[in-house]
Amino acid sequence: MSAPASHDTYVMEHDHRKLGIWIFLASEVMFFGAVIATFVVFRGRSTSGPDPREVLTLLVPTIMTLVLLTSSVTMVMALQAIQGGNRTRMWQYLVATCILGLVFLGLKATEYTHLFSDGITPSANIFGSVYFLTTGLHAAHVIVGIIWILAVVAKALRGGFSAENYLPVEMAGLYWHFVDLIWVAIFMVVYLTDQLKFM
Amino acid sequence: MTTQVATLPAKPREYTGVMSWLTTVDHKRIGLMYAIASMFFLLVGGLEAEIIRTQLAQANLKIVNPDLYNQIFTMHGTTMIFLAVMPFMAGLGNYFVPLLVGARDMAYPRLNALGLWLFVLAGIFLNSSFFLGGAPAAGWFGYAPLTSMQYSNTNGVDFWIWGLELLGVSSITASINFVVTIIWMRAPGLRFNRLPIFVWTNLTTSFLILFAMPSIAAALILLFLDRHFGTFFFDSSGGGDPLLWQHLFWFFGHPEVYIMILPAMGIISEILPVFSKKPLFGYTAVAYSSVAIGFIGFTVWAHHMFAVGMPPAIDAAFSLASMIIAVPTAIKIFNWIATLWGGSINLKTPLLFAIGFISLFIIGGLSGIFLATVPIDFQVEDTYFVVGHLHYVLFGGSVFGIVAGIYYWFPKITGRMMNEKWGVVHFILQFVGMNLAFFPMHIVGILGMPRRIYTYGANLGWDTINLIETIGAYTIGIGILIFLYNLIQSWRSGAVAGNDPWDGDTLEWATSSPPPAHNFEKIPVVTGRRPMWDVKHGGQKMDYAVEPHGFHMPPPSIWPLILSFGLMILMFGMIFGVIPLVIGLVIFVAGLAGWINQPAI
Amino acid sequence: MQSSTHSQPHTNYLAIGAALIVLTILEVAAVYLPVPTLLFLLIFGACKALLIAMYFMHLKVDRRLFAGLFAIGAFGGIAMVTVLIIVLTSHLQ
Repeated sequence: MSAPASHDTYVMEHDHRKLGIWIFLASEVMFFGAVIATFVVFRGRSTSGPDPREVLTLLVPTIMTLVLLTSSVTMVMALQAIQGGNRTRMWQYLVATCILGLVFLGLKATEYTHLFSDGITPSANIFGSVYFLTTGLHAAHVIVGIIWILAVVAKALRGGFSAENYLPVEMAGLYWHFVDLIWVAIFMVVYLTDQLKFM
Repeated sequence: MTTQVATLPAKPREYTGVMSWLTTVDHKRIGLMYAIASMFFLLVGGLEAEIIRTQLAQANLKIVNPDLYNQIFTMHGTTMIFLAVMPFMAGLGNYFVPLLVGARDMAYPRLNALGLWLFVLAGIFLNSSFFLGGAPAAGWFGYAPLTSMQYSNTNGVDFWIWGLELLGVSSITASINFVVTIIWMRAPGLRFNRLPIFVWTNLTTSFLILFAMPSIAAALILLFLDRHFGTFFFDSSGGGDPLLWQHLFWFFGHPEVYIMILPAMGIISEILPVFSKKPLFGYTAVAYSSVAIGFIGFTVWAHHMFAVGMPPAIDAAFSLASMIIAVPTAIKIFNWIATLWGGSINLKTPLLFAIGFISLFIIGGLSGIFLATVPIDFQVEDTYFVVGHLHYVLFGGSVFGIVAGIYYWFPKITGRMMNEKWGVVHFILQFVGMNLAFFPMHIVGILGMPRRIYTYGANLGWDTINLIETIGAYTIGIGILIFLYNLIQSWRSGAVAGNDPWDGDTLEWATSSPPPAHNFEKIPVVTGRRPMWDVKHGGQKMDYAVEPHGFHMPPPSIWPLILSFGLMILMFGMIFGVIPLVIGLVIFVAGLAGWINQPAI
Repeated sequence: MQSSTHSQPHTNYLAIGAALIVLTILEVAAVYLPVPTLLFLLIFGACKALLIAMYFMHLKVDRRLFAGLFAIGAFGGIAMVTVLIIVLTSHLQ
């Protein structure tokens, strides 16, 4: 498993950057672990303020999940496109991914507005604190992801990638899918396990 | 780095003088800067220690006022851990891991520079708090609710929060670099079971950092939100729990101490074979034990919290795990002793400090077993017993290890030898001073002296012990000054070292002192654990790898420094408001854009 | 700059996407139907996670090193969450 291609030659045959991204993602799992643990530990421990079950509903988060899953599809289609040499299709799919990401964030914004008007804020009670922490940190990661993908698009538009050279697209994709994975966990922990009303 | 075609690329921008240091991506220069900056912060932390010890030398002294005292002991701990020991290890690792694995640089040279500058600027940021409203004063582990706005209403804790976040990013980037370098950039033939132990410990330490730092990163965000946004994470009045802070902090904090000791253990494992002229005894056991310590280290964190009121079953589980971790530790110690046993001992300064390390670490480990025993811990928790224990393992362990590493590798880095006589004087002062300063702490702790107190009454009978400890601390201080003098003098005019002054075993001694920018003229093929020994004394011929595409060293880059600077200003913005926040963000984005646009090697 | 992932020419990403959508709908159904909710949620959630990791992130065809690293992270994260929940709720009865 060492670097050289054959016994006595010293040739870097793989690009290191992908290993670096995976290591980074493994570390990020621990970060969200701490955040999700914080959420779970405080379930039902608010001493005042509105009960989340009175205010949260499942419809919008479900749509958000479907949107983000679709954006992962468009992301991997973008990678498949450039692996086949089709730069145009690639950046079109990347732009689609960004748009879906923005839709996700827009839906989150409507959810937040609804919660504020019902009295759930980060400083209302512990539920408000953990809810906005968990979903907010995730949203911040989505924003970073969108900016990252746009940077890749910018480079593509300047003629950047090809069927032999697409690693940055793949790396952006890995990060984006990871953000989707974390949402799978958040959707389950924050919304599905709390017996919320559907709408 | 991927291979390049043999024709030279367009000539990269070249810098000279100070700019060449600010833009360097050479792991050796970066490692050296890490080490020098750490040395500076060691002195800052040491000054803070001397102030603490002066204040405590006798009952009812008023050398500093209580509020400043709290800031000083908080910054002493924070500085020593995050700005001295950790970066020192990162620096030595940075310098020597590529050399030890036969590589020409680290996997991500610009990311390497980023880690350095983030550390340096974070250190400046943290210490600027003294002049900008007060340093943090809630202890180095910042327990809630002491750190809440109600009880810490200066900016100090906010400086602590964002300084540590910056340092966390620095450590994580460095760890990613180490893991990829060690896994994918080893010389031909350098299998994992031939890796120098210093590389094994760096690999383990890097994983510890990657999996532990996120916990404190999250906790610090929660603390900032509680302080400034009215959230209730650690505030029980809204349903929160101060214990959450303790768990999240120590989930990081315990692996953190292994992060600090494992590289030192690696250094010792390099020094002992060379100065006994024997292979490391039980290499496999030592390697596996290092990994085991890393892994088990994640399961013991609540032994810092035995007295908070967890059910006995949980206390017992953590107590058990804390005792189990003594096993791989002891395995290493026995193997070190066995390495020395029967060897042809070359009692030079590196070995003196290595032996000092072993003896002092044993004592620290033993007091650790006491602390792992819950009923004893109930009695001595938060007393000076703990302070004694931690200084035996962190000063007697990590700092002795670092100093041993400096004496060992100084010739390689500078091309000159350090003065052996001054080295022995330094050792005697540091060893004697260390025991004077920290052994009595176990006694006065059992007698009831709590940690972090500003002063104590004259009727408690603690005066004499504290005075002895203070004398010990001053003795250490003198030793460190002599060390500094030796470092500077030797660098200027020490004897020329040559490639291999110690008759070393490993690959760094195969190249010049200091090594050229590209480390090795030709990459060696490794056939054993002691490649240099085998060639010099084992009749083996050194074989070299073929590099069909030649090599190309990464060009310098200003962007890591600019990006780091932007982040630092951004952190000032988190404390002081919109203007520095926006300026920092702009500089950060500019640095990022410049970085992305620079060709990737 | 080569990447060692070959594309997965026979992978129908749209089919995987459809499966993910179906699984999501099943998850929501599990909340309202008289079934052991938590068990089904964990199963469906794990399936979704594995599909994303194996196909979208190419762990199925890529080096096992990447999957191994991520698995360590995942295992560590789950263990951390579990133990933190235990120690922080142990005093509540």
